[in-house]
Amino acid sequence: MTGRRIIWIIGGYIGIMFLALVLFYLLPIGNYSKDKMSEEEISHYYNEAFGLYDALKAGKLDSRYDKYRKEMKSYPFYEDQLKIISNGRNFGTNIYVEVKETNNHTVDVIQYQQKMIINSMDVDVSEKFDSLKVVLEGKQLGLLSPEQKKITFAIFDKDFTVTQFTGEKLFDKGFDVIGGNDFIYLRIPPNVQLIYDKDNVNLQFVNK
Amino acid sequence: MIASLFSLGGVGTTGTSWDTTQITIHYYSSDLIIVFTLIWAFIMGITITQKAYRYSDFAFVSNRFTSNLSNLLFLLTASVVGGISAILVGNVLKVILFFYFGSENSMGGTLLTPPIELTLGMFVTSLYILLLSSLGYFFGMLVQLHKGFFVFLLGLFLGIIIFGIRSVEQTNIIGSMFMFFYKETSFLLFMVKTLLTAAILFSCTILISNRMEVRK
Repeated sequence: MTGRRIIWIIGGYIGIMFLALVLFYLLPIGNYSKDKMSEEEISHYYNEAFGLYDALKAGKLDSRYDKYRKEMKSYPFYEDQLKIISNGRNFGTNIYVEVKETNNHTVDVIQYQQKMIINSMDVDVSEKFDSLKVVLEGKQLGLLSPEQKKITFAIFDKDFTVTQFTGEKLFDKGFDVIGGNDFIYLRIPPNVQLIYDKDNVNLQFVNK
Repeated sequence: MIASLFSLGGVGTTGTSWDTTQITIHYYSSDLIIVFTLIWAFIMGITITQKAYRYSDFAFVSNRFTSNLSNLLFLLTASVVGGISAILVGNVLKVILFFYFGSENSMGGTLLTPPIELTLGMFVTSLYILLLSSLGYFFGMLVQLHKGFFVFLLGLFLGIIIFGIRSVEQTNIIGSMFMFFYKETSFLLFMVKTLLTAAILFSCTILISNRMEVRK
């Protein structure tokens, strides 16, 4: 290999390293995620999430939880039985049923969805996943789980030559996913009887 | 560069899944690049004690001491260059992966390394490289003194590897030596430890080389 070629190779290598260094600080990496939540936002969200759960259980639909509402539909309904079916297990889906005092021949379906947060990264990933579809056709209310969706993230860790002095753990790689559950609030006429698989559908009647 | 290719797979992967969701997280850092650089430094330390390198010294330097001094300065320069380039190549990797995964899926509070940590990383990596290269230089010179040391050192190394670790909790002498430096959380003490150890190794190497015959 000639001297000139070696100089070009080394020069190119150094050039790439310094270009990457400049890019590293110029790229919008600082705003790497618009979904990143602050500690205050997470704390506020947890309070709201518990609040939403309690409100639905008590049958009190508060307007401050409207931001978690995905759908609100009223279906004409003249049957005396409503069968709830599901294409998945829907362990995370809770159904709250309010029995109306008078029969107006409609079934109201209100769907709420919690945020899905990856703990330890404090990132809201709700928008990356499709939510449950709720459809009422004839006598059947279908809970249609979306297809499994795969999301891959890259986390850039500090090197061990830095963590040695900053005190961070070298192998702290665990994470939890919090929330992401769907809540369905049903208002049914008093004469309608609900039929559902108790093993697969979490359903409770609200006490107003 | 080979280390960069290995690092593309990440230094760790974790994930979770349920019926509708599958989340996989890949962790990336320059750790593998640094480890490869340390291996390179150790081998380089051994290489410059080889006959061919030492004999070429005689054309430029007048005695054994200046030969050792020039080797010391060479290893020092290589350590600084290696330390800086290992961290900078890590940045190249991060930029490539940033484009590969997209800004939305590239996360972690440590993505944007503050310049102070970048400098710290370069400095500490350089010190580790100096330590490993001085160790390689010492071992190389021992072998040059007597070929029997090669068998002895190889046997010692394999013995520690094979019989030293009986369980995950039980660490061997190599692990303890690494921990002596790695567990040090004070930068100043770490610097003293590495520089002092490197100085001792270099001094021992100079003493050993003085016992060798001319052009041996």
